[in-house]
Amino acid sequence: MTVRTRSLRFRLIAFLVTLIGLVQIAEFALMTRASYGAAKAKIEQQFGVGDKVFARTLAENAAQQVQSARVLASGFAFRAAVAIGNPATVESALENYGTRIGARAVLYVNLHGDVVADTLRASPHVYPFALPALIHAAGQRGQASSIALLDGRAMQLIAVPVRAPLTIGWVVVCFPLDKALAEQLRSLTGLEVSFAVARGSRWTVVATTLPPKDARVLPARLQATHAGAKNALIRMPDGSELTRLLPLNDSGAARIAAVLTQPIGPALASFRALRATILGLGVFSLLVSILGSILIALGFTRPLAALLEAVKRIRQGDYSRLVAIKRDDEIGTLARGLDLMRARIFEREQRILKLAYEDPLTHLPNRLQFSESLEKALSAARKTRCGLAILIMDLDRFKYVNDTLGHGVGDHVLQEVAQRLRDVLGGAACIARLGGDEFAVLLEEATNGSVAQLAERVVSALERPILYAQQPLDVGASIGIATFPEHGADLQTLVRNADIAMYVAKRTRSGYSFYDPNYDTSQQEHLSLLSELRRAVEQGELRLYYQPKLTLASARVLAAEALIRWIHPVRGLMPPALFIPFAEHTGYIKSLTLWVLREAIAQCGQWRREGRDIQISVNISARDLTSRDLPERICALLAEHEVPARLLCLEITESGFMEDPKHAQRVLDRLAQQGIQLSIDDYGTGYSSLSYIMRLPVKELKIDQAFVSHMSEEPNLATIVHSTIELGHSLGLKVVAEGVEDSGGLALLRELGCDSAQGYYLSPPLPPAEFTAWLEGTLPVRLEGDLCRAEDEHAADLSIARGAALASGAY
Amino acid sequence: MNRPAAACLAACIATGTMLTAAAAATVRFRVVDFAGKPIKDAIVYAVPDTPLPPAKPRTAIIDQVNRQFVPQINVVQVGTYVDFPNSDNILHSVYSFSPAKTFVLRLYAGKTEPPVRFNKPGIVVMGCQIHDTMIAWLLVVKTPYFGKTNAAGLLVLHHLRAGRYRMHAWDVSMRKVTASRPLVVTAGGPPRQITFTLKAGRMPRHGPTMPGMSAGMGMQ
Repeated sequence: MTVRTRSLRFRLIAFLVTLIGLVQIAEFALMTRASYGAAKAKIEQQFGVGDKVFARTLAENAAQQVQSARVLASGFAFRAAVAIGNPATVESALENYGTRIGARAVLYVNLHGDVVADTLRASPHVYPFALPALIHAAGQRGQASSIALLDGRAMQLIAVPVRAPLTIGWVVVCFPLDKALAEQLRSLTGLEVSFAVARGSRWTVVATTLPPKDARVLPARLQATHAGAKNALIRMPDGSELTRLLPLNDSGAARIAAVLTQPIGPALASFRALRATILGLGVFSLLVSILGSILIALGFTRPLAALLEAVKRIRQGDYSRLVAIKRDDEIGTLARGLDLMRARIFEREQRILKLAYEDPLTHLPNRLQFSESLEKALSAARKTRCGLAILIMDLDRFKYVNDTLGHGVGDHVLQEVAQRLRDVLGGAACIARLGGDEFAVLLEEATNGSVAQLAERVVSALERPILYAQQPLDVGASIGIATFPEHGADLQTLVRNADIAMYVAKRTRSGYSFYDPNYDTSQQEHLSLLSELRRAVEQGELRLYYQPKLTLASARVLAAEALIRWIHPVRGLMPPALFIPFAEHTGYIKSLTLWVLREAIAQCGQWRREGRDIQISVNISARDLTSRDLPERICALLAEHEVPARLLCLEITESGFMEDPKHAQRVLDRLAQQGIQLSIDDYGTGYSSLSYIMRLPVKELKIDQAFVSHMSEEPNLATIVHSTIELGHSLGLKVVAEGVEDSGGLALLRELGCDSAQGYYLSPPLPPAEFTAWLEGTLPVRLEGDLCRAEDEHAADLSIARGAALASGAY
Repeated sequence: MNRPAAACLAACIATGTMLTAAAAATVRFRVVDFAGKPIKDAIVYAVPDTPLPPAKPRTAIIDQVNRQFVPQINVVQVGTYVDFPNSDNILHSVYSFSPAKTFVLRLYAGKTEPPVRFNKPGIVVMGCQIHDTMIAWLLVVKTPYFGKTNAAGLLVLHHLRAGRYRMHAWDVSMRKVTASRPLVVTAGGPPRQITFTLKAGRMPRHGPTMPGMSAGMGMQ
């Protein structure tokens, strides 16, 4: 755990610890002070008691000595000796009695105040007694005691009168202030006792119970601290002891004092023990408090840290984990709030992700999701060196369904397709809708065989019609497959190649197709096609070929379909399938259509001038119908070449007017008003509603060649053709059959009442010159005959004629 | 020269007084302290200038009753015997270390001890060895004319022959006899009254000091 000094936890702990520490210190200081004060007061009290006891003991001692002195002085023999003896006798008596009572010295002072005998000096001598006041006091009170220096020694002096029977003099008994006395006093007071004498300010210790070490420094201390104090409590500077100076005499140059000393050390021992206990308790409680405050702080900050952690997770986008802090306090509330916020953000993000990555209609992943999944799968596959495959699928007839039946149906179809894909490709890594009717599938660890199988299953699943309101809708699908690593190492390449393969599949109607590098070359061609196409228009590389439309009833050719051909300078003849879809895709088709119209109308005008009224059919793409000025342009062209409108027929595929039906209807109406013929091309392949077609100003129906070309071999197709013809006729439309490839078919069409026929059996599309040649040549004539004969005889030789036609054709 | 004449005059006066009365004179004394308060038991005595013929020895008695000397204050003429009977039923031992007379009577009861003769003038203070509180004063004077004042501080001396005297007054509180004055006694005439004012009158609180022992060891 790193300590961050700005963190809440650190500050909280620091505050609590500081607070508690200060309280502890203050408490310790107060308690120490109080207990020290108490201890000291106790010591001082003891000390006070001690010095009272001292004074009293000293007084009692003196009283006792007075008694001794009295006994001495009242002894009759002593009195007699003093009263009548000579000085030597008196001296010896004094000595004798002094010894008896343990006095240091005994003096006899006469009524004049002179010492006439003493035990200190040899007699005879008479000298004034040094302490007349003592004698005076004794005279007043019958006894007196005093402490004074006598012969330079500190003494307790006791004076009592000697009576015989009246006072005749005074006995002064001297007891020294010596160590024995000090020891005795110490034993009674419990204090160290010293006797000190000051001469001037110089102190001398005369007797002491102090150890020598302390005794040596005592004079200096007395001198330094309280030289002049009386009865003063002396505190030694080091606080080690209490000392009291007790003056024992009150006058004279030489002061005598008792020094009572109490070392504080031993007396404070109990205080020190108490202080140690308090300190110990303080330290202990400080530690406990620190621990406690840390725990409390952690109690606050641990959930905070957990919250921070949770916030961090949320910030990093991990919304999956709950903010699990179960507490009843504010932090708990905060945690719950945070968790709610997390859940909401999670929900919203899921929704956003869904919007971003999911197709809302089918709930399949969208293109973005697919790309990401593919990228991931690719990088995984690069590592594991496994193969993967992508399928790109496009519905064949979705646009038509959507256009004709509405978006509701289209949406239903897409949903159903999505469901079927899910059912079939349950194990696929990703099924996505790329947009429109385009789907993509990502297959991991795929082999070509398994992918083909899957594709097969998808195709067959989508071949089953989709029911909408009890109506079956047949959409079908084309799938392009690209595999990794064979068909590309990166996403773009794979997708593009699968796309290419899908277009191939669509074109070939093979259901599905694996990418082939060869496609790529045609793809490359596509890419340069636009510029080439432009160049083709400019440089006249495009040609219009005309395929005759035979009116079956009259066996005459009154119409032809104009078909575009591109004579490429390098590649030769380019089939329209190679560039028309591309032109439609790029929008260049409009230019092409205009070119075709101009060319066809011009040709028509020319033939008309040559005396041939041949109606020319021109294919119009859906995109052409979107341009508003199409009717005007056509009108202008017709006028320019003096071609009547009836000689122009515009062929429109069913899907052609489904893109924007209303607009298409308007355009078509205007064209029809101008007298231009309109025809439905490739009828039968789409899902045009007949009722809808009826509303269009259409005059002609062209049955798709898929039905016609094999009609003579398959009765079902013939039935379809037949019913279509019937239907067309019942709606008042002319019916044209495309893709007539044999004489049987031709005969059958005639038999079924079809109005016109068109196909290779009759003639392939021909350049104008050859077309006119064909018109004037024998072949039409033979055909005419052939048609006439077909009614009653078998057209066995028609195949020969067809073969000849093929051989002679410029195809 | 003058002195004999004065003495003669004084004697005349005294004789005159005595002559007018009974050939002797009576003198009244009054002893007071400085406050004018009469002093009881003060001793007044008159010593004639003319030496008197030796007197026949007399005997005085100082009894010991209830641990007290009775009387406590006494005055005798030099040469007087003093008997110290013991009236108590306990033993006493009378002593004196006074220079005027030093003696010690051994412990006794009743009247077993012989009388003590005081043949030196002076103050004698006596005590009992056993009982320190027993004190008696005895003033030994060289004159038969002496007496003690009564409670009113009065003393009357009769039968003073005419002549010249030296009058003395003393109280126990006084360490020595200091108050003296001359007196001329003439026979006849009205009784004279002489007042002595003494410094004393009060006993020292812790007992009087010993008279005549103020110097030296107390021994003369």
